[in-house]
Amino acid sequence: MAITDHAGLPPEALRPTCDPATLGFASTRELDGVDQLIGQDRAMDAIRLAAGVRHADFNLFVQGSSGMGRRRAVMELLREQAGQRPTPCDWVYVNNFEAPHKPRALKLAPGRALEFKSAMEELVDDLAIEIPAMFDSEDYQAQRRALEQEYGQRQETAMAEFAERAKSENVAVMRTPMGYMLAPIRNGEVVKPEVYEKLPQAEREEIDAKIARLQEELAKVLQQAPKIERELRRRLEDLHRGMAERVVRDQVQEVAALFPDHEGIQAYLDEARQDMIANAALFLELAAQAGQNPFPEAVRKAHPLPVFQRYAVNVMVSHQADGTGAPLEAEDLPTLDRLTGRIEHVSEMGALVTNFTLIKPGALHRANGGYLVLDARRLLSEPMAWPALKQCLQSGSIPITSMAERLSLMSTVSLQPDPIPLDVRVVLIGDRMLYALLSMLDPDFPDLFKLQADFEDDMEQDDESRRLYARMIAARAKRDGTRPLTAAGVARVLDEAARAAGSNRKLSLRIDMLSDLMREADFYAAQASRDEIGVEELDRAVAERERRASRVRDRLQEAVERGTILIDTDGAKVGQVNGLAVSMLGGFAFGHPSRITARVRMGSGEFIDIEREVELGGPLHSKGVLILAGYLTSTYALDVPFSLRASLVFEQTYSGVDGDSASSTELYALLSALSGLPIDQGLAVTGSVNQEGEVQAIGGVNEKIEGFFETCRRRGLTGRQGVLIPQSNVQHLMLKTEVVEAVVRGKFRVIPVSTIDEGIALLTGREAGARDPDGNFPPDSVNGLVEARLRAFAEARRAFGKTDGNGEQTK
Amino acid sequence: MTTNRKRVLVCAASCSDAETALTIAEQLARLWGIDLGGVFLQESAVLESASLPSQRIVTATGALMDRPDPQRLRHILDREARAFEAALSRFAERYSLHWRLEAGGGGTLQTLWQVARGWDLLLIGQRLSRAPAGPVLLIAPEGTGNPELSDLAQRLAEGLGTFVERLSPQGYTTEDRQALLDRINRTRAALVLTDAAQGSFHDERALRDLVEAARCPVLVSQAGVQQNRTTEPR
Repeated sequence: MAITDHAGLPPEALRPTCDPATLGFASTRELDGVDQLIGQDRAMDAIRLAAGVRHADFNLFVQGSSGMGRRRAVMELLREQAGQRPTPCDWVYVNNFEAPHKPRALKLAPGRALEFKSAMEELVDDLAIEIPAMFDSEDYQAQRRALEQEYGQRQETAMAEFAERAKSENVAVMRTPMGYMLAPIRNGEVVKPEVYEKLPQAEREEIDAKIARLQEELAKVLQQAPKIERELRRRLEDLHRGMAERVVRDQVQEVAALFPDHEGIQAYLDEARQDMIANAALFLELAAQAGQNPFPEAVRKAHPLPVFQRYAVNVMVSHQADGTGAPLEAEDLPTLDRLTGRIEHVSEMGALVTNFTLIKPGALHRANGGYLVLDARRLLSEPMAWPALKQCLQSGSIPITSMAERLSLMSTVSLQPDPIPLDVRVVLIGDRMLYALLSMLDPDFPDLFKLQADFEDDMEQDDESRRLYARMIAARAKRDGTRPLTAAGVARVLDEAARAAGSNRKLSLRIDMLSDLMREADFYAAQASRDEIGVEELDRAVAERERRASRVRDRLQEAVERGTILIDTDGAKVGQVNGLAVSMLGGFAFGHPSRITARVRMGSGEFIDIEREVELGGPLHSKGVLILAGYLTSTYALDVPFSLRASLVFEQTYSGVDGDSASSTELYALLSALSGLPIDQGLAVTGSVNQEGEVQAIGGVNEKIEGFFETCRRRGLTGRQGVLIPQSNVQHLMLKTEVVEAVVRGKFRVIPVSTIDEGIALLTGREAGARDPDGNFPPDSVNGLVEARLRAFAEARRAFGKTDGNGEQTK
Repeated sequence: MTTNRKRVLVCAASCSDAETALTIAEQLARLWGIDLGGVFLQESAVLESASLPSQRIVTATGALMDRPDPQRLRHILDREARAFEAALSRFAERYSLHWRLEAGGGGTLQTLWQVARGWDLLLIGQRLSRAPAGPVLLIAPEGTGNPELSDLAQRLAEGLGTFVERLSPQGYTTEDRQALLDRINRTRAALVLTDAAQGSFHDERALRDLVEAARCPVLVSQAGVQQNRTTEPR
């Protein structure tokens, strides 16, 4: 059957377009926009479940292609759910006076953390005034003076008594720069050495003994001084403690009265009270410095000073008390620190120091009690972030550990704050491959993320879905601030959505891509001073988008046109077929023809896939070759050994080839080579084949057809050209209008085939042939000729096997 | 209080004694413009007693040191004298005061009375023990007193963060003076003030008794005026 005898698919099957008249409106101005996702019921139900279920391990992974509007949909739904949930508690860190390196976490009712913080600040400010005032009071001064006088007098009395004793024994007490010296007195004067020497021995000895004894006594008196001093110090400390306690107790009680039922705060305030009493000197030192400050004491605040940080309240997370609902947080930079919080350090005297006020919250703290949305790829890209998140979810708490500590790089003592309990629903948004890899390789992932929301890439196309889609387009145009679209414009967008879905029965749900198209069309509408976006603007947007991306495609076509790449588009050749391939550069896919050739000879059943031999062929391509080999070996010359040696190659391809979409093409080339029948070079073929000879669907059918069409168009369409595609790919056709117009003019054809026999008949113009009751193919049919050739190979091989190496028959 | 310029003679037997005197002098400098004089007290008895066989030094902390070598002691005293002079110089420079050394820079309590002639105030420094200082003792008779001295006592007490305790002699006999000395001996004071013209301490011997009993800085007003008084009023 000549190709011109086959009409191919009708034009309406090549590009089933949307009729604007069926949409029921003239412009999207009239429509009530739907600003939500459509066609995503499965995913949205999963998100609703994740938002509402209480179990801690029902975290959610939202998977799907990019540009689906997943993040927006997730945020909107979660925001709605969050508003209905109770507002979670506030959390603060306070000083642990007994172990400052282990700050305490306190939970407070929503909105009360800031109140607690403010109350402590006022407490410190008030004590900074009242404690110095108390120590300035006459009451304190009098008590202190009394103590000092008492102890001072004790020492003085001891010294006075000694002085009196010394005087009574005629001994003078003299002061020297080194201390005291005692000397005998006679007649009111110190005895000179020359007088002493003249004294009788006994008297001298008496004097010496007396001096020695009094020296010992004086030493004892002076040794008492430190003890008396110590005793005075203790009495003063007791006095200070007592005075401070009165003031501090009253002030702390005022703060305690604000939180009467909070055991944690009450316990903390008790410790703080004791610490303030023990460190009352801090407040006194501040008062001593006050005289140097230009601001009056009533204005200057004490609580910001570093020395009073020990009484500060570090608010980690604070909510409003008016029941605004649970938090919804999204962290766009999910590093370890930003996720779990961090402990900062400051440099003091060349060392790094920290305290509980330098603990900073992370996204988990802010989202605690609510929802946290993260980009999965970004999360996994950040060092230690994913293990940290898992650890928090597994432990149900938020320990703050720095990267240096996790990697054991830090040996300095840092803080070990109480981990804050965690109650959060984590939503990860990522692609399908990431989900598959996590499910397969991370044993923790399935335990922690029990829910998945799988976003559809497309939806079924019918009248109802088209109208709904139109409403979504209307809402999107409004949101993007573009001009409204005409009904024809909407129909054009729907056609493009079908094209993007790769099916004329579906509509792509990659809304962002269509939004980009609409926004570009809006630009062209503005240039043309139109107040609506119509078909013309959208066509231009589509064409311009393709033009921007098609440089490589155009250079390829140019190479074909100039004969650098050999492609025949008319005539006939044995063992040579036009195959079709799709290349993807960025987001732009384009098809182009590729010559496939087959060569055969007698052999022992080898199929040489040249691509595979040089490691340019991927596993799927190899699989396709093996399948077609299986078809051959199970279809022809079954009663003789398979004695074929065949080689297959994609001519002039120097990069990798994969996929089995050309396996039927390769088979056609082989059948042509075996039968000796030439293949019409005006046709290109795509489709995979199974071992039964059935032609199976392939991907990128539109791009492949358009690629060959372009090659033929550049050389001039002959009317005998076209593409054979799998029957099962007809539903995927959404060809460009220029292809459709060529088909209308009878200049090009798209012919669906279901079996190899159908295809080979079209390509060779000879019947494929079916076995008669005797099991024989018609001799002049393609199959008959193929089988005859294979038998001939087998016979020749058998005959060769009976000869010696010189071709002589063996005995 | 008049704002006349006062001439203050500072005396001390060691640098640490001088520091206590200069603490008082600082208070005086804030009240008036003062001219400063200095005498380093070097009692010959100290050097002489050092050679006694039983001699040991009892330090301020109660430790017993072996008998000092007289030469070493001489050396220490000379060093203290230089330190005393340097302390006076620094003090005078800080407060922009005129100052000079009297009596060749050295003297004794005995000679001090004569040296004090022409000086308004005689300030003898003595280091205090570590116990908190007590009151400012003002030795003045009841009723007739030196109002200027009373006012000075009050101001000095305020400056030292203490109060004034007035001691009035019962009379001016030797027994009265001894009773006063006994009282002073047993009183822990920050400073003792007296007016040589009106009090019981109006000669060098009385001054020495007072200094020994006080064991704290002593400030004597009009020390040079009464130097010729020999009879004791009854």
